[in-house]
Amino acid sequence: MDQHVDISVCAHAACWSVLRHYSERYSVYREFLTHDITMMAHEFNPGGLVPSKGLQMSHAERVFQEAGTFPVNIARGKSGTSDLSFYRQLSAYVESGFPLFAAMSTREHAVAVVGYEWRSPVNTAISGMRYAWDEVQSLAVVDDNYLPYLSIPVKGGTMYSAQDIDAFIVALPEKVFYPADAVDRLAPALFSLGAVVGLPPKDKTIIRYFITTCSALRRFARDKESEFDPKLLETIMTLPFAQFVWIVEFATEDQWALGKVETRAVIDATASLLEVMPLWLLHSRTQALVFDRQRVGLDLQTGMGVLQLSDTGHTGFTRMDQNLRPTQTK
Amino acid sequence: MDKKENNVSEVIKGLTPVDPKALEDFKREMTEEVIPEIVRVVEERRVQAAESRHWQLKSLSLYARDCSTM
Repeated sequence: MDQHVDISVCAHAACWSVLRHYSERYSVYREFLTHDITMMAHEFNPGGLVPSKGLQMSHAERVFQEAGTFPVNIARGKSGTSDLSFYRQLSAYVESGFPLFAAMSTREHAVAVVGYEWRSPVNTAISGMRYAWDEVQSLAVVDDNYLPYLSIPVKGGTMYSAQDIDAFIVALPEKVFYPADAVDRLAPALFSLGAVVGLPPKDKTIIRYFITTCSALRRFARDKESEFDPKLLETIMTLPFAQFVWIVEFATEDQWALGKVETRAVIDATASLLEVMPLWLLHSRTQALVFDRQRVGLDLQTGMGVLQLSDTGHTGFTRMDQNLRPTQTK
Repeated sequence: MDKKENNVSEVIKGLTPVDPKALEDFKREMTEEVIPEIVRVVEERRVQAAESRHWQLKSLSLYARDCSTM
């Protein structure tokens, strides 16, 4: 974008890119011009339309709040690039279909992260649990200094990489209370329920989590009806999910390569941080743990039950990949 | 939501009780490790986010540099 620096800077362009996506995809959000965004960044008109005094993260947060979203600001921990949880959350929100406002403090720069590209599936000799972030090769960003959809590597590169991102803002809808940090910690703990619901071996599992709506989950299950035991399908259609749910998918390396998953957990996005069982459902191909959200907090025994499922004969459920699609090399 | 929908076990047929022993490890891990860790991490993120709010994303020096090249 050939822009006048006195009217908009990189952060304005990144905010505009994010809000443009919202206004195009969701009718509830109006369209904003760069001038609107410049004005929304401040409580009052500071005169001269700034940004001669610079734009701060708090201003970007304010832009998203003024646009009617509920922004969450997530900053990298003091361990820097070793804070892998930060990057796992970044990829989880992008997988969820939310473009992110990403800041690089050392470069005093901001971009919009809009997509990613997975590396080619490989079977590794290294054992250990992995996350979807470990399979990401590059991010697709909108940087106002370049043409749209710039691909930046996870690390290295000639300009900058994902490792230079040290904070991001995700403009969430209302009523998403259970943070990605909690999902990131909860997901490995679910292996303790492996005796009830089949889970792949922990050290050979790739975990992927993202947030979606219950209607998207139901639509996905309906589209893939043949993969589900009718009892499981009925359960998904019947459970009184909250509007937003976190999905955690567990896959072996082989399944990952085929776009399949072994086990799927549905977590209540409106749950409290202190809940022992913030789940709606945890299912594999042979069992499903069903949670009664009204009761499970009071009594674990009566608040949940097991469904025995008939194996439908496939090698895994299809990965739920209906939000932003991974970029493909042409 | 009507009364019937409140009770999942009545709506979903075929549910059987979970063996309490199978839940013990998970419950202990959640209460002793995972939940305290989540609370700690969320608080740390809150503090880090508060610090990040003051980051300049386009500083005066960059602005001056850009102007000088115009």
